[in-house]
Amino acid sequence: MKTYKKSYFARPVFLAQLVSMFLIWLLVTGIALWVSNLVYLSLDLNDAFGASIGISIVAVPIFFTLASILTYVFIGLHKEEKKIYNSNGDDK
Amino acid sequence: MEDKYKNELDVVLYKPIYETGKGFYYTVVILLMVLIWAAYTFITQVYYGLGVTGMNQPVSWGFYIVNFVFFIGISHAGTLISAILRLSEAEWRRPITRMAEIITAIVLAIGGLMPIIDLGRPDRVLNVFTAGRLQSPLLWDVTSITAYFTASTVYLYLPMIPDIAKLRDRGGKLTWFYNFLSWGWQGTPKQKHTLERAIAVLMVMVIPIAISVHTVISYIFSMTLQPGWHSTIFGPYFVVGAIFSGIAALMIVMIVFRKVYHLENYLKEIHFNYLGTLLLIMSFLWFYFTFSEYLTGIFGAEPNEMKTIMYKFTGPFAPLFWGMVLCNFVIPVIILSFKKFKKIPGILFASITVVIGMWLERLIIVVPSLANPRLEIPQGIYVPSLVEWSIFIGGIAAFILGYTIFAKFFPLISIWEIEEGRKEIHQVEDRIHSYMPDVEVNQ
Repeated sequence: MKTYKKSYFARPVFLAQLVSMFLIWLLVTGIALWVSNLVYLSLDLNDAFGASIGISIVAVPIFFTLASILTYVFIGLHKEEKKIYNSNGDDK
Repeated sequence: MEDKYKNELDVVLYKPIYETGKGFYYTVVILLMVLIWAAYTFITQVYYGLGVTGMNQPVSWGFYIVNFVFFIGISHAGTLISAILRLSEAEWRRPITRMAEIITAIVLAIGGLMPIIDLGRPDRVLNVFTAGRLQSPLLWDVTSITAYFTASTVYLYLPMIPDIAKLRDRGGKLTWFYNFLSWGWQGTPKQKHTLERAIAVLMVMVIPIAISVHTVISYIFSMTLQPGWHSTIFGPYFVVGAIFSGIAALMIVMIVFRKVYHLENYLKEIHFNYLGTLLLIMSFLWFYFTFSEYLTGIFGAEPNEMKTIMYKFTGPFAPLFWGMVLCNFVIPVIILSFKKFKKIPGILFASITVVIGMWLERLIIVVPSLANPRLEIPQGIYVPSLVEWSIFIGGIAAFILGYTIFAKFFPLISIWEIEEGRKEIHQVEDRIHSYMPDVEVNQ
């Protein structure tokens, strides 16, 4: 059976990966906030509010879906990796 | 440690990563010099203002917007072609998809910069965050290109994870880097299932995003009541042109890297043959759209529309217009219709002419409509300046540099997909049997 060994810098690398995931979500949330601000602006100026809402309804979910896909893969891969290490008793 | 790859079946695919020849350094240095020159000219432009460009009144859009539309068009090479080939389970896609996806990610970044360069005061791009107007097609562009760039980067990255893990497992100086990017990949069936599921969702997602991006780009023209721009078919016309130029750019890249990295065993004549056929079909489609666009304009004979059309047909832009027809239709159709010419050198020539022709098309769309104002202003002419040429060449250099550096760190061809393809030959056979009547499928 194939055995898996964790390298000595596994923890800092994992932390860096977590930070990168956090940054992805920060970016997506930033985009959503930016679009919301533009929608608010259109309401404030009474200028094509409906169109702005329509565009934001299409745009914002795309970014959240992309971030969700990345998170799904990230969690899925790490969960499985952890399982492998645990089964090899090599996780300490 | 890094020599381990020499025992691999796909040794050629690892070689550019572990062995760096002089050619790589020469290429990087030359391209960096071009980029530094382009950066210098850009700084000149920021310092002296847009007066250093050939843009004027009434031609207030020039090379930068042309290049923006052109580069974003080229980006359709990757995600769209790759997603369609993956979705249709075309087995010949395996060595092509990554090469195509890289084009998308790099070219989108370059194309996205062009409107900022066009601003003259690049710092004013920040106004988009505070005072952007969502009802403006320009803002639709910003949103859709950001979405497309994010989607295509994710779509490039996820299928790379198994290959990055291979590089991690081989050790070397960059193990930490590959470890960071491989996300704990160990190649277990469950991990494979997770990754394949995510790629499948992305495949379906990126196709409408890619189509919408170029449709939205066409809207910055077609939403204005401007002769030559205000057209209902501009959306699909731009999408067809984008896919057309994308396939051509992909084939140029494939042929060049095939030669440089000795990938003849992976990128075979058959791949170019299939893509060549696709290019031929797109050439006919492009001609159909161009013909429809101009026929309706000429038949309507609206004076302002005719002024713009004649500016292209017989006026100062006539050599460019007819050059475009030659490059986008006459040459590729002649080369790609005959088996005798449809060899790699012929395909390369046809692809280069298509890329040039599609760039000319963007120029022909942008400039003549602005050069023929409906107000009492004399007809304009646009002659690009050295600054604009330098930034354009800088954009091309940035693309080549980006691609070369990518190839230094990651395999250009998806190794795991090639390995999977080798294993799945029987499954493919079964699939073909399942399409056929009266053939038993092995379970």
